[in-house]
Amino acid sequence: MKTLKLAFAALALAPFAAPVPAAAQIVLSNPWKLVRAGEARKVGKSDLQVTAVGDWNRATERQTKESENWTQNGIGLDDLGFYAAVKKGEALFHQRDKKKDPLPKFDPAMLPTDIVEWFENSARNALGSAVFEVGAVRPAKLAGADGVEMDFSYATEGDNLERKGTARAAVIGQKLYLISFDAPKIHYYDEGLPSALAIMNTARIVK
Amino acid sequence: MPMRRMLAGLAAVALVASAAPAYAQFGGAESTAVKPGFVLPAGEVRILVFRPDIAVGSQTTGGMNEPNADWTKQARANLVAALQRNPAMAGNRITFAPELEGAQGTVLNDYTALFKAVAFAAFNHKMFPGNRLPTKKSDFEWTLGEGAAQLKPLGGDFGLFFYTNDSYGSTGRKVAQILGAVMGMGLMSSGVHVGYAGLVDLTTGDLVWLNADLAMGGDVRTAEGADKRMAQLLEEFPRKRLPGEPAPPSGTVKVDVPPETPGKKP
Amino acid sequence: MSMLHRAVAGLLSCALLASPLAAQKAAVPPKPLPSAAGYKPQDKLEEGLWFEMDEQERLLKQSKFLVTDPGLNAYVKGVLCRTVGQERCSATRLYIVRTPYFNASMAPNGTTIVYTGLLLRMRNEAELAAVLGHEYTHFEQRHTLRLFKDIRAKTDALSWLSFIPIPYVGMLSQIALIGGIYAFSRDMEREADAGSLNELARAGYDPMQASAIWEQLGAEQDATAKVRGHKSQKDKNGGMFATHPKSTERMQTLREKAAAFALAEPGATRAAEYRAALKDWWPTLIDDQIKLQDFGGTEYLLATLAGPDPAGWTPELLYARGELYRSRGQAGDFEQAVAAYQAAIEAGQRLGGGAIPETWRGLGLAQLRLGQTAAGKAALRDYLAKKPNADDALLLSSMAQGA
Repeated sequence: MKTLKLAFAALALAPFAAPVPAAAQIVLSNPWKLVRAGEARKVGKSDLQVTAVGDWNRATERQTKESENWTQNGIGLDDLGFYAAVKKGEALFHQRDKKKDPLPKFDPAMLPTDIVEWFENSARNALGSAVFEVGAVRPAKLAGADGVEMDFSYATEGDNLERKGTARAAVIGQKLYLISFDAPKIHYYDEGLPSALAIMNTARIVK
Repeated sequence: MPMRRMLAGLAAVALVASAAPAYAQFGGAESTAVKPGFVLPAGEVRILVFRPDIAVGSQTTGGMNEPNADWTKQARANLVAALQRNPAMAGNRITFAPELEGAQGTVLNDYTALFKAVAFAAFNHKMFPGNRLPTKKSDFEWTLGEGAAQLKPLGGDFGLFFYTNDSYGSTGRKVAQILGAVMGMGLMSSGVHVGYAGLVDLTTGDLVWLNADLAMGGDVRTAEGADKRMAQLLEEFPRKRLPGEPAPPSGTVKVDVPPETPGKKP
Repeated sequence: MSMLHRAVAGLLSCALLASPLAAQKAAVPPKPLPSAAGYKPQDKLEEGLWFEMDEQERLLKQSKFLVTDPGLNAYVKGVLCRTVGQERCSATRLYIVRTPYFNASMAPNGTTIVYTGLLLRMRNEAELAAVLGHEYTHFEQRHTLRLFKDIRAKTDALSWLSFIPIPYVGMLSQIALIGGIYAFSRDMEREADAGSLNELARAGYDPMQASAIWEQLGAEQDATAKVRGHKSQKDKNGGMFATHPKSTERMQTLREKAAAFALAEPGATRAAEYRAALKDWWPTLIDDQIKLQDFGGTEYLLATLAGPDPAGWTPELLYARGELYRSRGQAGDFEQAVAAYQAAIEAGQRLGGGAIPETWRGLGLAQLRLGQTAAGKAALRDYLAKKPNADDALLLSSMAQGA
């Protein structure tokens, strides 16, 4: 049952397998905006501010209220995701179906290792990938607060492409802030990681 | 990162057969992009052709694709022959990538998967006027990375990928299409004929040419049709540098994109 | 080859005659079967399906989700061959796929996929044999072909057989629609059930094992739904029981038919062999399941695997129970988790094998959440002593510092 549902749900997710209505989105005014090197910006209209290292493209479409995604090379290649001010009881990513396909919810009482597990479980279920794995994990600072940094790897069924990523997270004022960079294992991860980490280092909470 | 799933749909539309009604909204059905100033070296060029994705079937009345083994096998044979006959390949040495096992096979497969991802990004952000990346507005810069040179020993300095998918409208489908139009239900596609091709400079990994066509002609089940199809797939394939020709100027952009259809605003 | 055909056909018609259902089928003359060596597709449509599936199999071989462990593959293939016989099983190729859901499928060309979620849920070799035998009957009777012909007659917007590579829609999910457990009509399911019993009995397995599987699955889906507050998926369109005969009817039919076999010797379940074969993979599989964050379904599954006897709660199952509660982390859950981990450690000592090192990690983390700082840090230090190179060793040691 679940696999059938997964297949249909996945087909529904690629809304362009069905005709017209979704395709109208293609002819939108440009959904991508430039973020110039050196530009400081509050991402997702949240209080998380970062400064761009290198030029990036940011998507105007958001996954969740206070998230934002940037890319240098485009959709399906590198992705720098900012997830800001996630409150108690909220999920990290957009939930397809709150009842049948829920994602785990954040709790400020989480230990650093709990945050790592929560990230892994959220990503596994949002991506539908049982080969999503978090590897090395270490203490790190984000926006001046003590947190964690984790390396991960995964593939998704549809494109069968191995990807690698690094994410940093911290709890600040009872809310979770997470920045995640991932890209294809071949070429793109190594190429984009230095500037992604540099951007993570610029993170500040700005009221 | 799960955002990829949503936005990937945008890329999917270019290559999903049943999206055929959608392409009409883009004001056209084909587009080509070439890395600025790129020309092939003079003389014999060694081209490694990755196993092409080819599928031919027929479309049932309800729009299902019914696979047809004979047609697909015939199409594969025809297209392979047509490739070798095509004028753009004159003077080149073509090698078809072998089926490999083990670690070597994995490298080949991984680069093929990466090519598809890079091609999707290039389509998405170059072929559709509304979707350009501000950092890549005036150039065509996508790469598979220098590691692509690992593939050169398989037989090429350049890698060629191509994909074609045909689903011929059955009589029932054609009738339904006409009825639909008559009853004002809008144009329903009868038959789907899509394809794309790309060329990678394996020394640098750079994507130097990409061509997509969502409404291809040529019946690939016949030799003449395959020739016509191959000509469309290889449209504006990079030419060779002429003897004595100086190095090309940089910054020249050669991008054809479909014009926005007037009146089709969101 | 024609002799082989006749031999196989003869064997099958004998087997079918053994079951009441077959009495209706005895009159049908034997057609060449896909299970025979050297079988070729009989018509254009079948040829098209095979061709598509051959292409998909090429892709499947490259899938990042493939479990290539030779030992596990040899074991599962071995069970299939034990069940349907060496000759018939050589018409198939087995692929194990890392996906935490219950499914298995056998495509028209013999490509066989078993999800790891299925391997987690089977309690013994006979249950696995029942599922594989069931799928094999779908394959041998060409149910996919019949199904395609049925569906082709209806309007269907989803070109689910076209395999056009839609990005991020899994090919594995598409394949699962073809020849998967949830794909066929009620009549075909009845046929496959009957077929599976024959296979089981002939191979020396206890045919009664077949009925338990479906009941367990349905109850698991009920448990999932109950905790999540929605209707059980098993009854929905496209759900398991939409196409399968009603659970009670099915259980009854299977039990009656199984009893009718009146075997000379009681059939085997080979539970010990199954557990031994899955031993190395079990921690990974249960981890995949727990990471689904399906509390109700997982709790039910663990209880089923443990069985009614309290001794059935092995250190591994108790550890899994701890992980389940700890990962949900609602009020009262960390206490439950601590109790489970401690029971795992105790059971490990009692049985002599010891609990797995991760038990101390889970215990420490749960205790820290309860504010039992000293105990929690001590447990984490115990874990780090056992696994100094753990992926999160750096992080854990910073959490374990201080008294």
